[in-house]
Amino acid sequence: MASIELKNLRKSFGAFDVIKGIDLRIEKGEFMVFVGPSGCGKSTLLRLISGLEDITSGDMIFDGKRVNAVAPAKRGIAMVFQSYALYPHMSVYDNMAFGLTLERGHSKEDIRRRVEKAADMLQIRPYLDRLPKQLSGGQRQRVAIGRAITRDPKVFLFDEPLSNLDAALRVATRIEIARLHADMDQVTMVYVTHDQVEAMTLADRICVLRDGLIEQVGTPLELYEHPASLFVAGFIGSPKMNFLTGPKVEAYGCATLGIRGEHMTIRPDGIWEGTVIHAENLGSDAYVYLDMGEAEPVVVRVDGTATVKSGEVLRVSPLQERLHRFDAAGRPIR
Amino acid sequence: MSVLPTSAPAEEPAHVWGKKLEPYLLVLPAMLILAFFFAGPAIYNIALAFQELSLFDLGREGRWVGFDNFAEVLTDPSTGQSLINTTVWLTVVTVVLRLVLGLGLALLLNATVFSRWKLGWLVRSLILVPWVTPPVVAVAAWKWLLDARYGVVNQFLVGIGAIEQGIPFLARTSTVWGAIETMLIWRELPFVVITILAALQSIPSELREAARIDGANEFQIQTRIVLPLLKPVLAVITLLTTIWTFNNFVYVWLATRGGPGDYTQVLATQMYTTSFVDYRMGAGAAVGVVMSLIMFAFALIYFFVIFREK
Repeated sequence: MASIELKNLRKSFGAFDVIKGIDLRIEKGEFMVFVGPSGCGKSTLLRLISGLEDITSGDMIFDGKRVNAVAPAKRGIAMVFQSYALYPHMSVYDNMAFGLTLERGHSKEDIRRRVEKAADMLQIRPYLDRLPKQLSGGQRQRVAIGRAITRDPKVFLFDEPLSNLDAALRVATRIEIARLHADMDQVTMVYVTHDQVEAMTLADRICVLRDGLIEQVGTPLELYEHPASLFVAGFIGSPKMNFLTGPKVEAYGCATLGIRGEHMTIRPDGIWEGTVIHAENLGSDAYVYLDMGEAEPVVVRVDGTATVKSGEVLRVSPLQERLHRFDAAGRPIR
Repeated sequence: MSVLPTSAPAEEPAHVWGKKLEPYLLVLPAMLILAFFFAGPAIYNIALAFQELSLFDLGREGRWVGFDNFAEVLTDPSTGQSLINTTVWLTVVTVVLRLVLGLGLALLLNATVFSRWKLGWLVRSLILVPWVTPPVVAVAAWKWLLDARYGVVNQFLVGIGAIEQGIPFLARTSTVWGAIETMLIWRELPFVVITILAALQSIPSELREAARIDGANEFQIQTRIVLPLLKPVLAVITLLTTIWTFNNFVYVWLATRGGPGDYTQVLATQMYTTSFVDYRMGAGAAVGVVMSLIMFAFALIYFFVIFREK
């Protein structure tokens, strides 16, 4: 178990600044998710924590000790890569045991016991003699997680571990990772993803990154209900928050008005009017896309049984207490 | 009760036959070229090996002598010496040295420090220069470099006081194999380097990173991750370079013509001298068949050993 502290952390590749000064504290046993669009620096930040990249300036502190110059293997971390990074010429067992065979003081029996314990946790024991190429994507990812568990790390790092899996497997593995976190509540976990659903469902806290800087850190609900910027408001939540501008929002005293699809209702006396462009029925819910004269269609969530036709003109009203007001700089007006 | 077919099976329509023939038609041109340029001469060579025929009688049928040519070739003591020269001095020494040097150079060229260096691309390009030099030109240039009186190598050695007078490298038994091997390795090394380099670059960087996180140092990464992953490409390089070198004629012939005396005679030069200097086509062809059989046996054993695990 380890706490991680980042102090004014910076990383540049040549003249290109990727991480532009980050201050963050990740508590012991916490599940922290870094989320943000492509190129925001989230993977680089994870690699700085792992020690795979050198820090340009600032401090990386594990449990109160500066680890800037400490080698990855000495930091007490384990990492799960997007591509699994399993050694293709080794069996599943050897992949999981590799790290332990390099450390001194582990008997063969001890290594076997630890590998089998991790294999049982992830239900991969029947595959221990197989080569990675003989496994499916989901099984490979479980082996990669098993390899990390075997090392008994203080910090678990995940770099977009579900990106290569299909939708059904992604959900199943996500649940497995959440269960793993519950079982290993002493281990600090840092998880990188561009998928905000993964972030919302797994994280104790989410750190939203943008252009190498932190946009907001908070619990999933804090970010959902009190976004610190227009960017966070648009990034967290699915479908994303609707933004209204122009004459419609003048009465609210702001430059941009944000309202989520689930916080609007279709009613005959609605205050806004829009034409249906398209409706997506997901069974339990349906998303109605309305043209309300904004740059992007406004999405309203309705009951799955509702029947809406393209071209139909509807009136909608927002839940007043769920409106988010932003100034011209994109900062919230509270 | 037996069940009888109620009607004869319908004949397959023409377009089904067309589909079935298509793959054969597609490989036909390549097969014809192979048959004309490879299988034809090879079969003719095998037939020649069982005849006694002078070079001047070529085109006519020789006298069929059964296995006499093989008996003569295999009992000739000079064949044994040629076989040792071909196997040990020409092939094993140069293949091993090329693999060791090639692996070392490829690892160096693939190093992160090197890839970040701005002139890295230039060095990688220069490595290819010997490979694009025709072997004839390479041997001629090396003969000049090694010349006892005017050669740069001897002038340098005399200049630094290592020797008093120039050494005729290609005329002395103590130096001739080293000189031939140097020429061959200089010319053929880039193939090994570039092939290994390509294989190295196809190893995902995440594997090295995962190993670093697992606690492996650079030496352990190379020996336990990189080398096992290079095994298939090293196996193919070993097979190809062994066959190419074992059958090689150019380096020895152009450098020494098998001399001094018969000291550097290899099977390929023996085959040539028997056929085109002694004009004994049958005996020369028999040497060629023996060479092919040795390489065929080598390839079979090699494949068995290498792919046994799979």
